[in-house]
Amino acid sequence: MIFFKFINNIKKTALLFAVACSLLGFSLSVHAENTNPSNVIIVVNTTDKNLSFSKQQIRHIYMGGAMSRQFKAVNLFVGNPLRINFNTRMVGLTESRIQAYWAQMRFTGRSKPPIEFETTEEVIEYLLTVEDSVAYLPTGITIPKELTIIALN
Amino acid sequence: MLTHFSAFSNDLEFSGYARVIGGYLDEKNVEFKGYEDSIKFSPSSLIGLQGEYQFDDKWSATAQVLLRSNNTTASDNSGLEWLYLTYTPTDNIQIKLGKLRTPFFTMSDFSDVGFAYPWINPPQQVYDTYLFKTFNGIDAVYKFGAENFDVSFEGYYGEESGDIGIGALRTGFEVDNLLGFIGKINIENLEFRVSRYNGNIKLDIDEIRQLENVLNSLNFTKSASSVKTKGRAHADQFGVIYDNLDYFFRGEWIRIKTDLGIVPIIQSYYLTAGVNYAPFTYHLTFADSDVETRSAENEIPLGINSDLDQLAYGYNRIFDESTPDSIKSWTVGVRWDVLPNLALKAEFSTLEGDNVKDSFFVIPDDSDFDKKTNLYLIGLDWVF
Repeated sequence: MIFFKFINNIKKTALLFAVACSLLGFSLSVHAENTNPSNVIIVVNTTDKNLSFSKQQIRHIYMGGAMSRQFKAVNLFVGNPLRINFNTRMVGLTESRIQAYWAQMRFTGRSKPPIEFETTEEVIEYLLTVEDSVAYLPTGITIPKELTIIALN
Repeated sequence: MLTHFSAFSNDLEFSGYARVIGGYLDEKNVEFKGYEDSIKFSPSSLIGLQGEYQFDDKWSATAQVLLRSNNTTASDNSGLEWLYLTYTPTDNIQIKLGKLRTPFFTMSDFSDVGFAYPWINPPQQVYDTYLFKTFNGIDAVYKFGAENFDVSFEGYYGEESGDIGIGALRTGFEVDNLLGFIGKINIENLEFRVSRYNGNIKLDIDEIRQLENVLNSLNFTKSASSVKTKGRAHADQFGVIYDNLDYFFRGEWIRIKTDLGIVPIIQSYYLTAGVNYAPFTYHLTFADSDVETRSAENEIPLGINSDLDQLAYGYNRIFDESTPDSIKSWTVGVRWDVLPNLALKAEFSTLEGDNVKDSFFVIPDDSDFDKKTNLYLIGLDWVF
């Protein structure tokens, strides 16, 4: 009896993992297509031309840390290759983990996720309007002179 | 397209979360957290709705209601989990005032928002203790950031009353002077959280209070004192979370102690390791709890007369009933982030209940169940 139960458990667990693994194969190919090797630059609307951030500070600004109320982070939509690149290089977390974190923050009233836009043009327009707003943009893009490209220390 | 932007919008915002969880317990005639040997969706499925009104850049008001098929987690069973004003006087300080969820442990104040964690249910050894889920009061957070770390200090003060269960014993309770502190530091991908809370608790059990009076009147003072229903309680917590692109680790330890002899000391912990293969997360968790029951006094002489025998029986029964649940478990699971706001989950747990008590199981009297079984859960978590 116990033996049959044991076999039954193994069957159920194996089925679960077979389903999960086949889905995993599918996901890896999608993930690879979205990887963009280009670098990102950090741009801020600030009067302080000597402002610099550490990678940690950028991460905390984007993840609702202490500096996130002064510096308003700007994001591109989920799935944008530049956002994936930024998450990978600067935040160091998967999109799933970031989304889970914001669900926690929102429903405990602690903080809210950055504002999101579809295109870099919209991001730049927002940056020009809101003081102390921060965004990542692709290298090689023309940045209006009112905005400051931040040195990373 | 938007042509004008402001840092805050003066309006009403609605959001919410929902979960549908199905579970199957591989054991006949036994129930575990509402799960049986047929698939059940009712125990953990729920929907939460939140409305928030931003008055200006410093003040906002928030309400959150939780609807679930069996009951609510709010102590007053109203379904209202949060109802508070938020005041943000500076960039570093946030103050919340009103009805709040208790932020005792890492996930206590969002334990119903399944989308926010990898498991289907947070480890119950830590999150299904006899602690209450909401309180009325004030919560203040001070945050500051430096080049290499981000720190927050949080303090809360308040009171609460309602119903709780200590093992099989259900009772009304009152807590006042609830005072808690939380320290949190984030360094790179690592987060440490340390917290402590204190409170004065009063259990509302007439039967026990009458027994206490009888014991006192018969001069069994030690026994009377051991069943007192008023006293101090405190809890300590330490938690660590590590996350990177490829894997993660979580661990948490808690201890709850009270002055009350009928409320045992609980120590619980869990350790979780997981790997990320976006959009999949695989995780493995070990969790255990250790319950230290205070022993009953042996003052009441037996076999002298039936009244004393009955008194001793009633006295000992309280200690038997109030022993909380203690269980050891291994859980392996997968989370699939199908969409940025939707995740599917599957989980398998082996459960091994402490042999002296019911250990979260509901077991019929004539059962020879050894408190070892398996639980299968599947679920959908959605935020909107």
